Amino acid sequence: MSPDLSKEQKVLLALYRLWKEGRKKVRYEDIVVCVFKDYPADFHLKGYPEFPDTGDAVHKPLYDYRKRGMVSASNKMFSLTAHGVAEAERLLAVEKGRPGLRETGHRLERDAQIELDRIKQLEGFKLFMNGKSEEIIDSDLFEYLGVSVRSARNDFIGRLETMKSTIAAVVASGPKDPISVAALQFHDFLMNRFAVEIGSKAGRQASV
Amino acid sequence: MDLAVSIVEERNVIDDHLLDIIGNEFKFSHEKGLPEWIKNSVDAYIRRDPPVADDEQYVVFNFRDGRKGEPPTFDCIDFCGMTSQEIDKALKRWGDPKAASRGQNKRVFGGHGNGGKFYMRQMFDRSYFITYLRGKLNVFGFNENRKYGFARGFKDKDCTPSEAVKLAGIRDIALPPGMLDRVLQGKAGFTVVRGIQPNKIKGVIPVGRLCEKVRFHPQARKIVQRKPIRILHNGRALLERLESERVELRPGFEDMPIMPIPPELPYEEDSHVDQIEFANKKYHAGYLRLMVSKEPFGRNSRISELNCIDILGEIGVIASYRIHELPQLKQYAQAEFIFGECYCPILEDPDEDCVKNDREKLIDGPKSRALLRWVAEKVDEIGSKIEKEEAKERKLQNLKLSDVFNNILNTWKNQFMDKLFGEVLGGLGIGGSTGGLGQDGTGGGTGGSSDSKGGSGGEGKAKGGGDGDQPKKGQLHPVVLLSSLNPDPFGNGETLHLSARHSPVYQRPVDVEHGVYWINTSRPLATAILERHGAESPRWREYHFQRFVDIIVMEALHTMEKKGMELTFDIVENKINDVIKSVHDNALQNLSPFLL
Repeated sequence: MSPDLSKEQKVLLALYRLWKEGRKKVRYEDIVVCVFKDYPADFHLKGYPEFPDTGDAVHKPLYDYRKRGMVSASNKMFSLTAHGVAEAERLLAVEKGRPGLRETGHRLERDAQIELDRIKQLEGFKLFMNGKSEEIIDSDLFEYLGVSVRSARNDFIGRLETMKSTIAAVVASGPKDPISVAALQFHDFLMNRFAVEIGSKAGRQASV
Repeated sequence: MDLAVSIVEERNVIDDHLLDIIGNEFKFSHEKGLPEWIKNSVDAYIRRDPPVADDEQYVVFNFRDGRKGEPPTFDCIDFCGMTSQEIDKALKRWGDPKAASRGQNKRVFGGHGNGGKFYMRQMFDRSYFITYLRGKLNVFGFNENRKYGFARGFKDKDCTPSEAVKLAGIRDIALPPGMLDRVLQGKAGFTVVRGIQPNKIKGVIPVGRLCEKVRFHPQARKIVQRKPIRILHNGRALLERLESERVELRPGFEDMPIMPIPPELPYEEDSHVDQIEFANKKYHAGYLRLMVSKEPFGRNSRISELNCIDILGEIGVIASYRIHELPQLKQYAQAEFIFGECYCPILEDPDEDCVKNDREKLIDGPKSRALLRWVAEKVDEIGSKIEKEEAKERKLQNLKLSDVFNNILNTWKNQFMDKLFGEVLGGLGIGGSTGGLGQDGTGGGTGGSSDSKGGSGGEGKAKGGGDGDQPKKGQLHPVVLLSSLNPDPFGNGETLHLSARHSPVYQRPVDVEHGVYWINTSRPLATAILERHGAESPRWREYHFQRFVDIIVMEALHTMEKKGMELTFDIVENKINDVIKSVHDNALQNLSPFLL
C-alpha cells in the first residue's frame, strides 16, 4: 500500500471499498474493521497491533469528509456522495501509483458534471437565466445546495463545500458555453443574496 | 382653361335662422346653461384690473318663483359691470373666440363666445343684461322674437348707483355682505343677467335640484370649488356658498402620481398606425391626474356625474367623459372608483381645434381618439391596481375566517399526534419530535406515548415545550400558522408573506428550530380556491386539512429518521400509508362537522 496517502484518505478508501461492494450505507463498525484490515499499521489500537482502533482515528476523518461534502452520515451509518466517490477514485489511482491529480483546463470530472447538469435543471437557475432574479427565494438556495431547511449543520456545510468545489472545477475547466458561465454567476448570486441565511445555517460567518 | 379672376371679398350675410340651427344643437338644459352664466361672470372678474381675489369673485343666483301675473325668473349677478362699448364689441358678436377675453392677454373660461347668449336666447321667453358701470346703466337683451338689442332708453343711461340697484331689483335681496355698499359707494359695478320665464318651469323653481346639478356639471364644478357662488331663492339666501362635492379618496391611493402625456401617441386605424403629436414648441405636453374614490360612484347615484375625466384646456374644462365612455376600457368594475382630469393644451390649437362649441365632448378625430385611448389605458392600469387591492382585502377576510379552522386543526392534531406516532412508528412514543430535532438528539424515548393533552412525551434528550403563544425550542407539538395572516413569532409582529413560489408548507431554519410550520396561502391553488369559493367552502377546508396531513407526514418521516429507522422506499411508503390512514380515520371521527 502506498505511503503517499494520509490516514484520513485511507479511511475514505476503506469506505469506498465497502461502497463498491454495493452497500449504500455502511455501518461505522464495518469501516473500522475494513480500514484495520487494509492498513493495520495505521489503524491498530495503541499497544495492541492485533486489535483495531475504534476511536478518533476513524471517526474524525469520516466527519471531516462529511463537512467537505464527500460523506453523508446518519445514525453512524455512512455513505459516499458523488463528490466522495470521485475523490476516492482519485485516491485509489494515487495508491496504485497513477497520477491522481485533478487536471485543469479540460473536461469536468464526472461529479462536477453531475452537479452542473443538476444546476441547469433548477427552477431558480431558469429564473436567473431569464433575468427574474428578484423572484428567487430561500428555497432556491436549499435546492441549489441539495439540502433541506432541516438538514443538519454538517450536511449543510458539506454540500456548501461540494458546490464551491464544483464551481471551482467549472472555473478551472475554462467554461465556454453561456449556460455554464451563467451557472457560475448563479452561484455567486446565491452566495451573496443569502449570505445571512448561509451564515446562520452553517453556524458561522459564511465565506462565499 | 382656367379663368384668371380675383374675388372681391364681402362680409358674410347670415340669416338669423342660423342662430336657431346652432342654438338647437346646444340642446340646452338649465343645468347646462347656468354654468355658462357662471363662466361669463368669472371671466368678467378675470378681466378686471387690478385682479380680484378668488374669494371675492362673487356670483349670485337669485331664483324667483312665478306668482300671479309674474313669471319665474333666473338672475345671475356679478359685481363687475360692462360699458356699452363692451356690449357692442364683444357681447353682440356671435362665435368670436376672442369675445370672452375682450382682446386681453388673459386666460378666461369663455370659449367660442356663444354659450351664455344661446342659453338666454333659447331657454327663456325674454332675457337681458342689466349692467351698470361708472354711472352708466345699460340694458341689452333678447325679446320674444329672439332678436337682440339695447332696451329703449337704457343705453348709457346716466344713473346713480342707488337708482341702478333699484332698477335692477337687487337692492333688497341678500347679496354678499358689503357688496351692495361697494356698489352704492361707486367702488364696484354690477351685471344682472336675467332670464324671464325659463323653459319647462312654471311657478315654483326647483332650486335645490338645479343647484345640485350645477355643482356636478363639468363646466361648473371646477369654478364651484374656488369661487363663492351664492344661491338666493326669492331674494333670500338659500346657500351662502355652493359647495362642490368632496370625494373621500380610497386609502392607499391618496397620492397618485401625475402622469405626463407622451409627446406622441399612437393612433391606429385600418391597421395603420400614426403617431399623433401632443407637444410642440407652442404647446407643452399636458398631464393626466387620476384619483380613486373610497366608494364606487355607481351608475345612477347622485355623485355618478363625478365618475368622469374632465379634459382641461388652458383654463377650464373643454370636454368631459364619463369613465364608461372611454374607448376600449377593460376594468369596468374598478373604473367606477376612478375620476380625474386631463390637462392637454394642444387640443385648443386653432390649427387643429378639438374643442366643440358646447364643450361637452371633444371633436371626434384622430387626436381626440388617441388621447382618450391613452387615458383609458391609464384608467385600466389603476383599475388593475384596485383589483389587486380588492383581491388582497378579500383574501385577508377569507384568511381571518380560516384562522378559526386553523386553530381547530391545531388542537385536533395535538390531541392525537403522539398516539398516532406511537402506534404507527413502532410503538415508540415520541419525546417531542420537534424538540428532538432541535437538539440534534435522537428524539423519542422508549416509553409509551403520553395520554394527556400536551403531555410529557418520551424520554429523549429534547426538552418539553413551555406555555404561552411564543413557540419554544423543543416544544411538544408543531405549531401551524397561516402566511399573510398570523403574526410571525420571530418577527416584529408582522405576518410572514410568502411568494407563490414557496412550497405549500414552508419552514425557515428558525421555524424548524421552534417547530413552526407555515401554510403558504399565496400558492396559486390556495389563492384560486379562496378567490372562487371562499374560506368557509368545503374546498378550502379540504385544502387546509390536506396541508395538515402533509405536516403530520413530514413530522413522521423526520421522527423515523431521527430514530435511526432504515428508510427504504418500501418502509417509507408503508409508513406514509399508515400515517395517512390513521389521520383520515381520526379526522372522520373528530372533524366531520367541518370537513363534510
